[in-house]
Amino acid sequence: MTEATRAHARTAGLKWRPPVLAVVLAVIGIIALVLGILYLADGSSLPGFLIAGSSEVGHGHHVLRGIAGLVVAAVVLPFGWQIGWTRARIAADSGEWPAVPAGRKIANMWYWIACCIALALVVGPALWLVGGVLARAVPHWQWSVITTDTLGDTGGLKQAILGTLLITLGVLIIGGTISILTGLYLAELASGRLRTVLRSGYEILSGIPSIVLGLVGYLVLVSVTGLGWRYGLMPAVLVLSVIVIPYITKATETSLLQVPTSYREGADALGIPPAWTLRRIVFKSALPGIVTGLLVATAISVGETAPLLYTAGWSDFTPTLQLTGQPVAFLTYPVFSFFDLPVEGAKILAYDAALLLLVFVLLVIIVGRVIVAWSRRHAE
Amino acid sequence: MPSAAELSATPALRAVDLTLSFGSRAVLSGITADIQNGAVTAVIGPTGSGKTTLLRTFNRMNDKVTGYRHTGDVLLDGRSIWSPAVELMALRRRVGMLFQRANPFPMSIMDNVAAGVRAHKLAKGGEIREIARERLVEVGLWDAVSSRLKDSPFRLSGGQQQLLCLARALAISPEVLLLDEPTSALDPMATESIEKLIRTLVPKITVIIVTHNMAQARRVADRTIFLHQQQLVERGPTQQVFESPAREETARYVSGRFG
Amino acid sequence: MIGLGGAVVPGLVLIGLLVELIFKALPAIGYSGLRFLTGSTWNFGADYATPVTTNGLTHLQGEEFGALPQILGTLATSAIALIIAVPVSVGAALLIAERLPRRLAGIAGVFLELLAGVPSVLVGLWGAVTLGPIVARHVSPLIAHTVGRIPGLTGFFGQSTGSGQGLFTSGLLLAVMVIPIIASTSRDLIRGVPVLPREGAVALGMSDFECARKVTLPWIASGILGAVVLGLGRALGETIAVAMVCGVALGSLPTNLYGAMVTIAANIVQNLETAITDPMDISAFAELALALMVITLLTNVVATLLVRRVSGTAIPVGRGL
Repeated sequence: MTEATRAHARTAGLKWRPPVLAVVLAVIGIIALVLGILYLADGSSLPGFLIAGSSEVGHGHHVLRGIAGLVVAAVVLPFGWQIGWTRARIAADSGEWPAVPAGRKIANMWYWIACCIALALVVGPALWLVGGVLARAVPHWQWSVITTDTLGDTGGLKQAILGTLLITLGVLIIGGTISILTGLYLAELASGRLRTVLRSGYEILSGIPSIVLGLVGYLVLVSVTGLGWRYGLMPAVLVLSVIVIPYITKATETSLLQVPTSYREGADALGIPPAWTLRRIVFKSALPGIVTGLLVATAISVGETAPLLYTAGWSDFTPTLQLTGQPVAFLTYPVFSFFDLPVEGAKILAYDAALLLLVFVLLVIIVGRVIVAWSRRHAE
Repeated sequence: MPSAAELSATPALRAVDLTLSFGSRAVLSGITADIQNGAVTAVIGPTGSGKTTLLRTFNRMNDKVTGYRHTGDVLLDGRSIWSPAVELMALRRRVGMLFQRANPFPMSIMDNVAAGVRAHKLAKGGEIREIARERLVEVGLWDAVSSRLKDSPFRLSGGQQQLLCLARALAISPEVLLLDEPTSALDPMATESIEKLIRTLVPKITVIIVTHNMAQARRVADRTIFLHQQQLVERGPTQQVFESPAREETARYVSGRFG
Repeated sequence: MIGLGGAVVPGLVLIGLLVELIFKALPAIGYSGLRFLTGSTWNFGADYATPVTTNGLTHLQGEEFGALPQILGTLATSAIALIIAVPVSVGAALLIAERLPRRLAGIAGVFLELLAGVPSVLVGLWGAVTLGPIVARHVSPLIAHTVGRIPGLTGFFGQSTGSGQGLFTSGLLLAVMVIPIIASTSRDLIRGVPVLPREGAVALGMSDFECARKVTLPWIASGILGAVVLGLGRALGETIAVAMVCGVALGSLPTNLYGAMVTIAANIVQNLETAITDPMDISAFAELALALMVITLLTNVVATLLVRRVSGTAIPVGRGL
């Protein structure tokens, strides 16, 4: 409320009587709101419900009643507010302003309430998901898991961690090289129809489900009817490389194309050879974008499961640089395969791996933000 | 039915000691001015003098700008536009606006003209089409668009788009129409047709036009307000302001020596 | 030259992929024919019995590949996901772009990034151990007792509410995975809408809701459609998360919203292992992969056409002033 509004409200003396309907609706809304909050705040049941899906039926109903209360409040309160507040405002000014139909204002309030609920439905599951995994994993966490050998479905995660690192490194080397070359070629050298054709190649590739790539990887590389390499490092690296190529290529191409033409023209005007310009100026300003692309590729390599199941396999042995014939363990495997085994040790291993993956994702997001912030500061 | 003399006696809009700032930046200070009912008032002044801000205050378009603060008051027909009884949607129905550049909505030409009528639920079905047709005729666009009312407005020329926006603003029968440099992006021909139209709107509608084009102010305005360095320097009949200004700054500005 | 060498890799992989899949799928296509699309029975055959030969094709006894339930399952889970994700994403994007102060909008953006970056196996884990049980105990019964009582809807929404492993939970999980894609694109699109048309709507006395409905959203309609298709692509191909919560019920159509089912991708990942010994089984999986690719590509093509049609008429997409 502005100063003038307040002054007006004072001088007019706010002579009004609250309409009965508005009061009734407001009271219903407030009761629903309070009940909803009370049910939701019933501290003993909520954590159990959110983490474990609570086995006791009553607890869940508390939460549902709470949500129902909030929904009723959200639907009813705009009515009470509009009817009551509009009367108050009109009573405060003896003049006659054209009234805006209450329906329009209520629709607008519902619109914003719906948007808030939508945002809650985005933030809520994200928090719930992270919190749920943390709540189950942290109590059992032991640092020794990182250095302990895997024994079947128990033990530690040493082999899986090493395997994931090795696979990711391979993907960055093979996939990264191909993608950066592709992006460079598309942005700097190719033109016309060739460019369109080559670009649609990686664009279509990005739309192919990773399980299909995994299956073909298995048929061509792993299976004895194909190359017969068996489960191992190389098939895993190749399949993941194909999966990440579109992402790095896109990032490389876009960031190269975004380098201002004036840089190049400036260098041309100075008589600097184009290759030098490309290397020292263009590539340097495109670097943050390319690094971000590589970061996304790292996140994908670490987080993928389906295409690795039939290319990397799973193993108790510490991975070596042997490219074929020796299965490699990876970090997402225990989460997928051990979480519902009836063995306590397997479950703990699943959650430990989940925790490591989660921490890794958070790290990637932070590093990504830092790169963006850094490149912005340098661009200015 | 009040006589013409009475009408012009009550100002349509009145700014009373209006001071306005965004954050620590003062934009208007101590503006007091009457906007004559049923006349065209031009607001002129150098860039940064606050003329657009003043215009946008009349329909409270500044309210949502971060750091916005004001003291003083603006009275529409004698009542504060910041009174608690005022609802923004209602205020803007009474005070319409046309912008620097045409801003048609992403809908058909017909729907553009009808948008305000539909939003405020002023008419239904056939009536809406009739209102739209009348307004398009009024702005002289009917012959050009009558055969393609369902088309996108973005294929029209810049001048036609601005006329369409004017028809859209007129369709909800505002009492006051705010024009924020409405022809600054248009060619001379389109500018001329819009200027002619503005003269036909009075005295039914009170028009306030912000312009940096002094020839335009002289052509269309009955009265002129001159702002300089966030303050109101001079106001009066257009002829007087331009030909025998009372203040030195006004004389220098209207003769083109600064700004 | 080296650049060109790199640039042709995606294309070559693509061609190789298609050739390999078609080549591998031929026996199964010959064996099953149209029953692949119309049949509901999926049977890997008797592994230890002697293979038999029909029409010149060697296969195991009792083998049958009717993929209809999987195809429908793939489409149904994705449909549920989009029904939930589209309004939620667009609503959240409107709030983030138009109302939230910059700092809060940034925090909301981090949540979107988080949701987009969490590996699908973690989403699956959460779905299997947390969301699934809650859906089974509380949400499904609630829907069954309310919507399920409406005449005509009893069959699909009423009846037994299942174990939390099935169509509904899979759809919910996919929604969670699709939301960040649609929401972050929509947010960027909304921020890109020029100020002038929106101010025009406000100056005409429209409410925020009317402005969003009449101006902002139509302005970016085809962009949002593009984002939805991107999300749909992810939903159709999502494997591991769905495999963990769908119940993997092969060869029968889910009778209601809560029943166990399977999608093409989930079937491939869960059952390829059992098929490894038999060439005909492998061939059937290649055919499944082909079917999944066709579905994905078809939706892409349809969406491209839709975008073209929409933007060809009235809506000036991305057209600044």
